[in-house]
Amino acid sequence: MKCEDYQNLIIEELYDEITPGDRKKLKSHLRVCPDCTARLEALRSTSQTLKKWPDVDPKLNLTFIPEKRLSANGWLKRFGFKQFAYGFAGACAAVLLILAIGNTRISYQNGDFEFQASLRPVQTALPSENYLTKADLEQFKQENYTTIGQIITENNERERIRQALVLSDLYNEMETKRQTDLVAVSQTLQQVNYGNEERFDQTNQALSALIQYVNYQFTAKP
Amino acid sequence: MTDEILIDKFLKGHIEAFNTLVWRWETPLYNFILRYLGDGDQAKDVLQNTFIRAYKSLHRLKDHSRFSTWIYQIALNQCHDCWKSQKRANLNISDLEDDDEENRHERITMADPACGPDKSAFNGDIAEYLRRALLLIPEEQRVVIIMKEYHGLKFTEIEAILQIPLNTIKSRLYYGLSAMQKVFKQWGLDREDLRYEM
Repeated sequence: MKCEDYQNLIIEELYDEITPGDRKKLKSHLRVCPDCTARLEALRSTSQTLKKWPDVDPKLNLTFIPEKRLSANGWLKRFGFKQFAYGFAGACAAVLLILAIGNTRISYQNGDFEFQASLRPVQTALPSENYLTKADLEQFKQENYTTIGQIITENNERERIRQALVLSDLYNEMETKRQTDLVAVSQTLQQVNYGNEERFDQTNQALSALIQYVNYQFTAKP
Repeated sequence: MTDEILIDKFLKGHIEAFNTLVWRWETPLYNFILRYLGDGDQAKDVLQNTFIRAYKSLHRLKDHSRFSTWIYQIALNQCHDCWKSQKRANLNISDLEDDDEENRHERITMADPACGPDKSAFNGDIAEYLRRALLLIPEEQRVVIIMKEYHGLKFTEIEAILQIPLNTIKSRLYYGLSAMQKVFKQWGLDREDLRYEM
Protein backbone atom coordinates (compact mmCIF):
# COMPACT_ATOMS: atom_id res chain seq x y z
CA MET A 1 0.00 0.00 0.00
CA LYS A 2 1.15 3.54 -0.76
CA CYS A 3 1.18 6.38 1.77
CA GLU A 4 -1.90 7.96 0.12
CA ASP A 5 -3.85 4.84 0.99
CA TYR A 6 -3.31 5.58 4.70
CA GLN A 7 -4.79 9.10 4.58
CA ASN A 8 -8.23 8.01 5.77
CA LEU A 9 -6.74 5.82 8.48
CA ILE A 10 -4.66 8.77 9.71
CA ILE A 11 -7.83 10.84 9.96
CA GLU A 12 -9.65 8.03 11.79
CA GLU A 13 -6.72 7.70 14.20
CA LEU A 14 -6.63 11.47 14.74
CA TYR A 15 -10.24 11.48 15.91
CA ASP A 16 -10.08 8.10 17.61
CA GLU A 17 -12.66 6.53 15.34
CA ILE A 18 -10.45 3.79 14.01
CA THR A 19 -11.18 0.07 14.33
CA PRO A 20 -8.64 -2.06 16.22
CA GLY A 21 -7.68 -3.87 13.01
CA ASP A 22 -7.07 -0.64 11.08
CA ARG A 23 -5.13 0.83 14.02
CA LYS A 24 -2.81 -2.16 13.97
CA LYS A 25 -2.35 -1.77 10.23
CA LEU A 26 -1.65 1.97 10.54
CA LYS A 27 0.80 1.53 13.39
CA SER A 28 2.84 -1.00 11.49
CA HIS A 29 2.98 1.48 8.57
CA LEU A 30 3.93 4.40 10.82
CA ARG A 31 6.81 2.40 12.26
CA VAL A 32 8.45 2.30 8.82
CA CYS A 33 7.20 5.65 7.39
CA PRO A 34 8.54 8.82 9.01
CA ASP A 35 6.59 11.00 6.52
CA CYS A 36 3.23 9.62 7.57
CA THR A 37 4.22 9.83 11.23
CA ALA A 38 5.15 13.50 10.77
CA ARG A 39 1.91 14.09 8.88
CA LEU A 40 -0.17 12.62 11.69
CA GLU A 41 1.59 14.79 14.25
CA ALA A 42 1.21 17.90 12.09
CA LEU A 43 -2.51 17.27 11.66
CA ARG A 44 -2.85 16.68 15.41
CA SER A 45 -1.12 19.98 16.06
CA THR A 46 -3.37 21.76 13.53
CA SER A 47 -6.40 20.23 15.17
CA GLN A 48 -5.26 21.51 18.58
CA THR A 49 -4.70 25.00 17.17
CA LEU A 50 -8.15 25.02 15.61
CA LYS A 51 -9.71 24.17 18.96
CA LYS A 52 -8.36 27.44 20.37
CA TRP A 53 -11.37 29.28 18.94
CA PRO A 54 -13.86 29.22 21.80
CA ASP A 55 -17.61 29.19 21.42
CA VAL A 56 -19.35 32.53 21.84
CA ASP A 57 -22.84 33.31 23.08
CA PRO A 58 -24.94 34.96 20.36
CA LYS A 59 -27.07 36.73 23.00
CA LEU A 60 -30.01 36.77 20.63
CA ASN A 61 -32.78 35.77 23.05
CA LEU A 62 -34.96 34.51 20.23
CA THR A 63 -38.50 33.83 21.37
CA PHE A 64 -41.34 32.53 19.28
CA ILE A 65 -44.85 33.64 20.15
CA PRO A 66 -48.03 31.87 19.03
CA GLU A 67 -49.87 33.19 16.02
CA LYS A 68 -53.27 34.51 17.12
CA ARG A 69 -55.05 33.65 13.96
CA LEU A 70 -54.13 32.46 10.55
CA SER A 71 -55.15 34.57 7.63
CA ALA A 72 -56.10 32.99 4.32
CA ASN A 73 -52.56 33.64 3.20
CA GLY A 74 -51.30 32.03 6.40
CA TRP A 75 -53.33 28.89 5.77
CA LEU A 76 -52.01 28.83 2.24
CA LYS A 77 -48.44 29.05 3.51
CA ARG A 78 -48.97 26.52 6.28
CA PHE A 79 -50.55 23.85 4.16
CA GLY A 80 -48.85 24.69 0.91
CA PHE A 81 -50.36 25.59 -2.41
CA LYS A 82 -50.69 21.96 -3.47
CA GLN A 83 -52.77 20.94 -0.45
CA PHE A 84 -54.87 24.08 -0.82
CA ALA A 85 -55.52 23.32 -4.51
CA TYR A 86 -56.49 19.73 -3.70
CA GLY A 87 -58.80 20.91 -0.93
CA PHE A 88 -60.43 23.55 -3.11
CA ALA A 89 -60.97 21.11 -5.97
CA GLY A 90 -62.45 18.56 -3.55
CA ALA A 91 -64.82 21.14 -2.08
CA CYS A 92 -65.98 22.20 -5.57
CA ALA A 93 -66.56 18.57 -6.53
CA ALA A 94 -68.57 17.97 -3.36
CA VAL A 95 -70.73 21.04 -4.02
CA LEU A 96 -71.39 19.95 -7.61
CA LEU A 97 -72.27 16.44 -6.42
CA ILE A 98 -74.76 17.80 -3.90
CA LEU A 99 -76.31 20.04 -6.57
CA ALA A 100 -76.57 17.11 -8.94
CA ILE A 101 -78.19 14.86 -6.34
CA GLY A 102 -80.67 17.60 -5.50
CA ASN A 103 -81.66 18.08 -9.17
CA THR A 104 -80.76 21.70 -8.79
CA ARG A 105 -81.78 24.07 -11.50
CA ILE A 106 -80.50 27.63 -11.70
CA SER A 107 -81.75 29.98 -14.41
CA TYR A 108 -81.32 33.64 -15.18
CA GLN A 109 -84.00 35.74 -16.83
CA ASN A 110 -84.50 39.52 -17.00
CA GLY A 111 -82.02 40.24 -14.23
CA ASP A 112 -83.36 37.59 -11.84
CA PHE A 113 -81.82 34.31 -10.84
CA GLU A 114 -84.16 31.43 -10.31
CA PHE A 115 -83.04 28.58 -8.07
CA GLN A 116 -84.85 25.26 -7.82
CA ALA A 117 -83.84 22.12 -6.03
CA SER A 118 -85.73 18.89 -5.41
CA LEU A 119 -84.97 15.25 -4.92
CA ARG A 120 -87.28 14.43 -7.84
CA PRO A 121 -86.38 15.55 -11.35
CA VAL A 122 -87.71 19.04 -12.05
CA GLN A 123 -90.66 19.01 -14.40
CA THR A 124 -90.28 21.53 -17.15
CA ALA A 125 -93.44 23.54 -17.71
CA LEU A 126 -95.08 23.06 -21.08
CA PRO A 127 -95.00 26.10 -23.33
CA SER A 128 -98.80 26.08 -23.64
CA GLU A 129 -99.14 26.73 -19.91
CA ASN A 130 -97.29 30.02 -20.23
CA TYR A 131 -99.66 31.60 -22.82
CA LEU A 132 -101.52 34.79 -21.75
CA THR A 133 -105.04 35.71 -22.82
CA LYS A 134 -106.18 39.22 -23.89
CA ALA A 135 -108.19 39.59 -20.70
CA ASP A 136 -105.03 38.84 -18.70
CA LEU A 137 -103.18 41.55 -20.59
CA GLU A 138 -105.98 44.04 -20.03
CA GLN A 139 -106.05 43.27 -16.32
CA PHE A 140 -102.28 43.59 -16.17
CA LYS A 141 -102.53 47.00 -17.89
CA GLN A 142 -105.16 48.21 -15.43
CA GLU A 143 -103.08 47.04 -12.50
CA ASN A 144 -100.12 48.92 -13.91
CA TYR A 145 -102.14 52.14 -14.25
CA THR A 146 -103.35 51.82 -10.69
CA THR A 147 -99.87 51.19 -9.40
CA ILE A 148 -98.41 54.13 -11.36
CA GLY A 149 -101.21 56.40 -10.10
CA GLN A 150 -100.48 55.38 -6.52
CA ILE A 151 -96.79 56.02 -6.99
CA ILE A 152 -97.46 59.52 -8.41
CA THR A 153 -99.81 60.37 -5.52
CA GLU A 154 -97.31 59.15 -2.96
CA ASN A 155 -94.56 61.18 -4.61
CA ASN A 156 -96.68 64.36 -4.57
CA GLU A 157 -97.54 63.87 -0.92
CA ARG A 158 -93.89 63.22 -0.08
CA GLU A 159 -92.82 66.39 -1.92
CA ARG A 160 -95.46 68.48 -0.13
CA ILE A 161 -94.30 67.23 3.26
CA ARG A 162 -90.68 67.92 2.33
CA GLN A 163 -91.49 71.52 1.31
CA ALA A 164 -93.47 72.08 4.53
CA LEU A 165 -90.56 70.84 6.55
CA VAL A 166 -88.16 73.16 4.71
CA LEU A 167 -90.42 76.15 5.35
CA SER A 168 -90.82 75.22 8.99
CA ASP A 169 -87.03 74.99 9.37
CA LEU A 170 -86.63 78.38 7.68
CA TYR A 171 -89.20 79.98 9.99
CA ASN A 172 -87.54 78.52 13.07
CA GLU A 173 -84.16 79.74 11.93
CA MET A 174 -85.41 83.29 11.29
CA GLU A 175 -87.20 83.35 14.66
CA THR A 176 -84.04 82.28 16.43
CA LYS A 177 -82.07 84.97 14.64
CA ARG A 178 -84.65 87.63 15.52
CA GLN A 179 -84.54 86.66 19.20
CA THR A 180 -80.77 86.85 19.14
CA ASP A 181 -80.84 90.32 17.54
CA LEU A 182 -83.36 91.60 20.12
CA VAL A 183 -81.17 90.40 22.97
CA ALA A 184 -78.14 92.11 21.42
CA VAL A 185 -80.00 95.43 20.95
CA SER A 186 -81.33 95.28 24.51
CA GLN A 187 -77.85 94.69 25.89
CA THR A 188 -76.43 97.59 23.88
CA LEU A 189 -79.18 99.95 25.09
CA GLN A 190 -78.54 98.96 28.69
CA GLN A 191 -74.85 99.66 28.28
CA VAL A 192 -75.55 103.10 26.72
CA ASN A 193 -77.99 103.96 29.49
CA TYR A 194 -75.56 102.93 32.19
CA GLY A 195 -72.84 105.09 30.59
CA ASN A 196 -75.09 108.16 30.48
CA GLU A 197 -76.09 107.80 34.12
CA GLU A 198 -72.49 107.55 35.13
CA ARG A 199 -71.63 110.68 33.19
CA PHE A 200 -74.55 112.60 34.82
CA ASP A 201 -73.33 111.60 38.26
CA GLN A 202 -69.83 112.81 37.47
CA THR A 203 -71.16 116.16 36.20
CA ASN A 204 -73.33 116.61 39.31
CA GLN A 205 -70.39 115.90 41.57
CA ALA A 206 -68.23 118.40 39.69
CA LEU A 207 -70.92 121.11 39.87
CA SER A 208 -71.55 120.61 43.61
CA ALA A 209 -67.80 120.81 44.23
CA LEU A 210 -67.66 124.03 42.23
CA ILE A 211 -70.59 125.52 44.16
CA GLN A 212 -68.95 124.65 47.46
CA TYR A 213 -65.74 126.27 46.31
CA VAL A 214 -67.53 129.48 45.24
CA ASN A 215 -69.45 129.66 48.52
CA TYR A 216 -66.25 129.24 50.44
CA GLN A 217 -64.60 132.04 48.46
CA PHE A 218 -67.51 134.41 49.21
CA THR A 219 -67.61 133.59 52.92
CA ALA A 220 -63.87 133.80 53.30
CA LYS A 221 -63.61 137.36 51.93
CA PRO A 222 -64.28 140.12 54.42
CA MET B 1 -36.19 16.94 28.81
CA THR B 2 -35.06 15.46 25.51
CA ASP B 3 -35.44 17.11 22.14
CA GLU B 4 -37.96 14.45 21.15
CA ILE B 5 -40.24 15.22 24.09
CA LEU B 6 -40.00 18.94 23.35
CA ILE B 7 -40.89 18.35 19.71
CA ASP B 8 -43.92 16.27 20.72
CA LYS B 9 -45.06 19.03 23.04
CA PHE B 10 -44.55 21.68 20.38
CA LEU B 11 -46.57 19.71 17.86
CA LYS B 12 -49.37 19.49 20.43
CA GLY B 13 -49.46 23.27 20.55
CA HIS B 14 -47.01 24.19 23.33
CA ILE B 15 -44.89 26.89 21.76
CA GLU B 16 -42.75 27.16 24.91
CA ALA B 17 -41.34 23.77 24.00
CA PHE B 18 -40.03 25.18 20.75
CA ASN B 19 -38.51 28.12 22.61
CA THR B 20 -36.71 25.66 24.85
CA LEU B 21 -35.31 23.99 21.73
CA VAL B 22 -34.19 27.39 20.47
CA TRP B 23 -32.41 28.24 23.72
CA ARG B 24 -30.77 24.82 23.74
CA TRP B 25 -29.56 24.98 20.16
CA GLU B 26 -28.87 28.65 19.51
CA THR B 27 -25.29 28.68 20.83
CA PRO B 28 -23.99 25.59 18.99
CA LEU B 29 -25.77 26.57 15.79
CA TYR B 30 -24.61 30.17 16.02
CA ASN B 31 -21.00 29.07 16.41
CA PHE B 32 -21.38 26.64 13.52
CA ILE B 33 -22.74 29.38 11.27
CA LEU B 34 -20.23 31.96 12.49
CA ARG B 35 -17.30 29.70 11.66
CA TYR B 36 -18.82 28.87 8.30
CA LEU B 37 -19.51 32.47 7.22
CA GLY B 38 -16.94 34.30 9.32
CA ASP B 39 -19.28 37.20 10.03
CA GLY B 40 -21.14 37.68 13.30
CA ASP B 41 -24.01 39.80 11.97
CA GLN B 42 -24.67 37.48 9.05
CA ALA B 43 -24.46 34.53 11.39
CA LYS B 44 -27.21 36.02 13.55
CA ASP B 45 -29.44 36.56 10.51
CA VAL B 46 -28.84 33.06 9.25
CA LEU B 47 -29.45 31.61 12.72
CA GLN B 48 -32.76 33.42 12.92
CA ASN B 49 -33.78 32.16 9.48
CA THR B 50 -32.77 28.66 10.48
CA PHE B 51 -35.09 28.67 13.47
CA ILE B 52 -37.92 30.22 11.47
CA ARG B 53 -37.54 27.50 8.86
CA ALA B 54 -37.47 24.87 11.60
CA TYR B 55 -40.56 26.36 13.23
CA LYS B 56 -42.49 26.21 9.99
CA SER B 57 -41.50 22.72 8.94
CA LEU B 58 -41.00 20.82 12.18
CA HIS B 59 -44.33 19.06 11.66
CA ARG B 60 -42.81 17.43 8.58
CA LEU B 61 -39.97 15.81 10.52
CA LYS B 62 -41.08 12.21 10.85
CA ASP B 63 -38.27 10.77 12.97
CA HIS B 64 -37.92 13.13 15.93
CA SER B 65 -34.70 11.49 17.05
CA ARG B 66 -33.08 12.98 13.94
CA PHE B 67 -33.73 16.55 15.08
CA SER B 68 -30.05 17.47 15.55
CA THR B 69 -29.17 16.19 12.07
CA TRP B 70 -32.18 17.94 10.62
CA ILE B 71 -31.49 21.32 12.23
CA TYR B 72 -27.84 21.16 11.15
CA GLN B 73 -29.02 20.46 7.61
CA ILE B 74 -31.25 23.52 7.68
CA ALA B 75 -28.45 25.68 9.06
CA LEU B 76 -26.08 24.30 6.46
CA ASN B 77 -28.45 25.05 3.59
CA GLN B 78 -29.00 28.56 4.90
CA CYS B 79 -25.24 29.07 5.19
CA HIS B 80 -24.69 27.73 1.71
CA ASP B 81 -27.33 30.05 0.24
CA CYS B 82 -25.92 33.01 2.13
CA TRP B 83 -22.37 32.21 1.07
CA LYS B 84 -23.41 31.80 -2.55
CA SER B 85 -25.42 35.02 -2.61
CA GLN B 86 -22.64 37.03 -1.05
CA LYS B 87 -20.01 35.69 -3.45
CA ARG B 88 -17.57 36.46 -0.77
CA ALA B 89 -15.19 33.55 -1.15
CA ASN B 90 -11.60 34.61 -0.91
CA LEU B 91 -10.88 32.24 -3.74
CA ASN B 92 -12.67 31.88 -7.03
CA ILE B 93 -14.34 28.62 -6.21
CA SER B 94 -15.84 28.22 -9.67
CA ASP B 95 -12.30 27.94 -11.02
CA LEU B 96 -11.69 25.08 -8.67
CA GLU B 97 -14.77 23.04 -9.41
CA ASP B 98 -13.08 20.91 -12.03
CA ASP B 99 -10.03 20.22 -9.92
CA ASP B 100 -9.60 17.10 -7.91
CA GLU B 101 -9.30 17.35 -4.14
CA GLU B 102 -5.50 17.33 -4.02
CA ASN B 103 -4.92 19.94 -6.73
CA ARG B 104 -7.50 22.17 -5.13
CA HIS B 105 -5.72 21.93 -1.79
CA GLU B 106 -2.41 22.90 -3.43
CA ARG B 107 -3.90 25.88 -5.22
CA ILE B 108 -5.59 27.17 -2.11
CA THR B 109 -2.54 27.16 0.02
CA MET B 110 -0.43 28.71 -2.71
CA ALA B 111 -2.98 31.35 -3.57
CA ASP B 112 -2.91 33.47 -0.45
CA PRO B 113 0.56 34.17 0.85
CA ALA B 114 -0.40 37.76 1.60
CA CYS B 115 -3.77 37.02 3.13
CA GLY B 116 -2.45 36.23 6.53
CA PRO B 117 -1.50 38.54 9.34
CA ASP B 118 1.97 39.86 9.86
CA LYS B 119 3.84 37.46 12.12
CA SER B 120 5.36 40.27 14.11
CA ALA B 121 1.91 41.77 14.65
CA PHE B 122 0.58 38.63 16.21
CA ASN B 123 -1.21 39.72 19.33
CA GLY B 124 -2.83 36.54 20.53
CA ASP B 125 -6.30 37.13 19.01
CA ILE B 126 -6.41 33.56 17.86
CA ALA B 127 -10.13 33.54 17.09
CA GLU B 128 -9.69 36.30 14.51
CA TYR B 129 -6.84 34.45 12.78
CA LEU B 130 -8.70 31.17 12.80
CA ARG B 131 -11.73 32.91 11.36
CA ARG B 132 -9.64 34.26 8.51
CA ALA B 133 -7.82 31.00 8.01
CA LEU B 134 -11.05 28.99 7.75
CA LEU B 135 -12.35 31.34 5.07
CA LEU B 136 -9.35 30.47 2.91
CA ILE B 137 -10.38 26.87 2.37
CA PRO B 138 -13.31 25.69 0.23
CA GLU B 139 -16.77 25.43 1.76
CA GLU B 140 -16.95 21.64 1.56
CA GLN B 141 -13.68 21.21 3.49
CA ARG B 142 -14.51 23.99 5.94
CA VAL B 143 -17.86 22.53 6.89
CA VAL B 144 -16.35 19.12 7.63
CA ILE B 145 -13.61 20.67 9.75
CA ILE B 146 -16.13 22.76 11.71
CA MET B 147 -18.38 19.78 12.37
CA LYS B 148 -15.50 17.60 13.49
CA GLU B 149 -13.31 20.05 15.36
CA TYR B 150 -15.83 22.32 17.02
CA HIS B 151 -18.92 20.16 17.32
CA GLY B 152 -17.28 16.79 17.84
CA LEU B 153 -19.67 15.02 15.47
CA LYS B 154 -18.93 11.43 14.53
CA PHE B 155 -18.18 10.61 10.92
CA THR B 156 -21.52 8.82 10.65
CA GLU B 157 -23.35 11.91 11.96
CA ILE B 158 -21.57 14.10 9.43
CA GLU B 159 -22.49 11.57 6.76
CA ALA B 160 -26.15 11.84 7.78
CA ILE B 161 -26.08 15.64 7.64
CA LEU B 162 -24.12 16.09 4.43
CA GLN B 163 -25.37 12.90 2.78
CA ILE B 164 -22.04 12.14 1.18
CA PRO B 165 -19.91 8.96 1.48
CA LEU B 166 -17.74 8.48 4.56
CA ASN B 167 -14.54 8.29 2.52
CA THR B 168 -15.30 11.65 0.93
CA ILE B 169 -15.75 13.16 4.37
CA LYS B 170 -12.43 11.78 5.58
CA SER B 171 -10.70 12.91 2.41
CA ARG B 172 -12.11 16.43 2.73
CA LEU B 173 -11.05 16.52 6.35
CA TYR B 174 -7.55 15.38 5.49
CA TYR B 175 -7.05 17.97 2.77
CA GLY B 176 -8.79 20.67 4.74
CA LEU B 177 -6.57 20.13 7.77
CA SER B 178 -3.49 20.00 5.56
CA ALA B 179 -4.49 23.31 4.00
CA MET B 180 -5.04 24.81 7.45
CA GLN B 181 -1.67 23.53 8.55
CA LYS B 182 0.05 25.30 5.65
CA VAL B 183 -1.80 28.53 6.40
CA PHE B 184 -0.80 28.32 10.06
CA LYS B 185 2.79 27.74 9.03
CA GLN B 186 2.75 30.80 6.76
CA TRP B 187 1.26 32.94 9.49
CA GLY B 188 3.53 31.61 12.22
CA LEU B 189 0.66 30.10 14.16
CA ASP B 190 2.34 26.72 14.27
CA ARG B 191 5.13 27.82 16.59
CA GLU B 192 5.25 25.82 19.78
CA ASP B 193 5.58 28.85 22.07
CA LEU B 194 2.57 30.56 20.48
CA ARG B 195 0.50 27.48 20.86
CA TYR B 196 0.95 27.60 24.59
CA GLU B 197 0.44 31.35 24.80
CA MET B 198 -2.90 31.20 23.10
